[in-house]
Amino acid sequence: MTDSNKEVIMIIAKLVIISIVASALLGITYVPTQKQVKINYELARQDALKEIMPLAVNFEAVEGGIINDEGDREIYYYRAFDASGNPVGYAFFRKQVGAQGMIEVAGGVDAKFETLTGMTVMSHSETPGLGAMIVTPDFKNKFVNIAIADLSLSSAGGKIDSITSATISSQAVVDALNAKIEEVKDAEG
Amino acid sequence: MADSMKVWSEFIRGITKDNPIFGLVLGLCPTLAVTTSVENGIGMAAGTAFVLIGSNVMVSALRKQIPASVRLPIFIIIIATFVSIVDMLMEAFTPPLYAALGVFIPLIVVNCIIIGRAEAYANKNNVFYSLIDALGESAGFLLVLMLIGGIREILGTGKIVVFGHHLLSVPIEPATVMIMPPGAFLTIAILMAIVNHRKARKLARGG
Amino acid sequence: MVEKALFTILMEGLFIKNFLLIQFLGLCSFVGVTKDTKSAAGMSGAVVFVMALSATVSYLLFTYILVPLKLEYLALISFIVVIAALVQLVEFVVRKNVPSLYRSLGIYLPLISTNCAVLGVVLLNVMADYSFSQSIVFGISAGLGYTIVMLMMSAIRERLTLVNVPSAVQGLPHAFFIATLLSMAFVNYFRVIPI
Repeated sequence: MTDSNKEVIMIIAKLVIISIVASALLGITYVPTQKQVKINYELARQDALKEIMPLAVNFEAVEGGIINDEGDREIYYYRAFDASGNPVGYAFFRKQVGAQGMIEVAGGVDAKFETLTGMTVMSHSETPGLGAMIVTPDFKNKFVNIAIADLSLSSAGGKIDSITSATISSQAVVDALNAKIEEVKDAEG
Repeated sequence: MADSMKVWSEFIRGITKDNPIFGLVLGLCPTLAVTTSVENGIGMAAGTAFVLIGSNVMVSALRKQIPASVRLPIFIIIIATFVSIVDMLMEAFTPPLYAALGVFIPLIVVNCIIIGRAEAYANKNNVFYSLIDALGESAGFLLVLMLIGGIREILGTGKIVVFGHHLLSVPIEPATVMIMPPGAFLTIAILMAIVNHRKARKLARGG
Repeated sequence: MVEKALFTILMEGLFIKNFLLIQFLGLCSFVGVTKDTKSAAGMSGAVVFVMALSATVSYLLFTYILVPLKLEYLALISFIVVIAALVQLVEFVVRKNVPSLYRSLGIYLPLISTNCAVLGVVLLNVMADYSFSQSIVFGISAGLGYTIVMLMMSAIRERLTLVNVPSAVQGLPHAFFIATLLSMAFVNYFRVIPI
């Protein structure tokens, strides 16, 4: 074997070794971090449910078909019960297109579909200082114990004041809640 | 004590003369994109610092093993590995920051500061000085991101909030344009003009 | 897959989410290669070509190799390697077959493998969960949006060489002041696009 051949083989061997070490490192990091991501996701959902329905202690998921290999099922919405087991309403998550990207909101409605018990934003990519204001307590408090009939922007005759220069984001939140409340109402008959 | 003097000067060089943004003009994209607030700036600088320190140390430690002809692909693999690790760690442990920085975390891989330092410094110096160089550059990057983030946040929202702590607020009508893309261009234009002006004055004074 | 009309994606790539002025991707070339229109056009041509190609290849790689093997965590490494390899391949093919094109694009090709706009397209496609056709449309429209801004910027800068500006503002600060104005236009005007 000539020297130049040897050199090429050395170079290739080094590249291969580095690639293998790199993939191994990534694999080692991937498993625990993915676990943590799943835990974070579940915790965030539990917190959100408690926040939007302070009266409820138990949430029973209404499930749909299987959505992934691990056998997780799609959750349509939750039936909420208080400490003595009486139904107090329904809680749900819904994704809606905002001004910049998807907004995921959580909402709760009472058992008679008359009052919204609360709203919170799970994730969004709206402009900081504008659309991103949908996560502020000021905005969220507007949705606490409000009649479903009044659940639209004040410009459209409702009782929700839009965030200044962020009508699209505010509208998306309102639309998401209204659309999902309709769906739950239909499902519950 | 000459040695510690040299260490200090190598460190401070990253903040002043070889500052990644104003000195070397590398890594403009994240500088402008994520500086809508001080908090995002700190997060981005922390992610970049991790990758820069990791890659500088690795490249420097392996510099005698890396064949010159394929050094760039190897640098890229080393850097991409560290970036992927940061990406996964931030997703798991700082979800709000991860959501705010979005695509710019994986894009650290093409941040020219990192491959630039690997090629220009770590490839030629020992592990210790490469580490100092990475720390200095990271500090310089952090300061610039905090400065731009601070200017934009205070003019754009009227207050500075860092990790839930309300640091200060000023009684001005917030100029929303400052946190929108044009505000980023305007801020860096003015800051660069100021830096140029100072450099020119220094030169005119003969040093 | 997300439901989004191809026209919407096209408009987002061209104007609403313009890579240079709104998303801040590819800024190094934006201030570096816009001193004259000819090199701006050359760079843009190379970017459009490589973006469309890498959007296609990386979609196939991600959907048919990485996802079935559950190796999503290798996505970033494989994308960057694919882009670097594609750039090399394009350079090789163009030099061999179209020497005239190589003379105008050639020197810009190596710059592209570290251009964050190209990797940005690929990553945004994966993040947005786009289908095959959506990925390609986004790749091409992002490249064309990049071209529009590069040409505008270089045309303005060519004319502004005749203008006297204070020495401190010359060069990069001047370019960023122009970018401020262009960006304001892009942020506000294109809100009228009905999507």
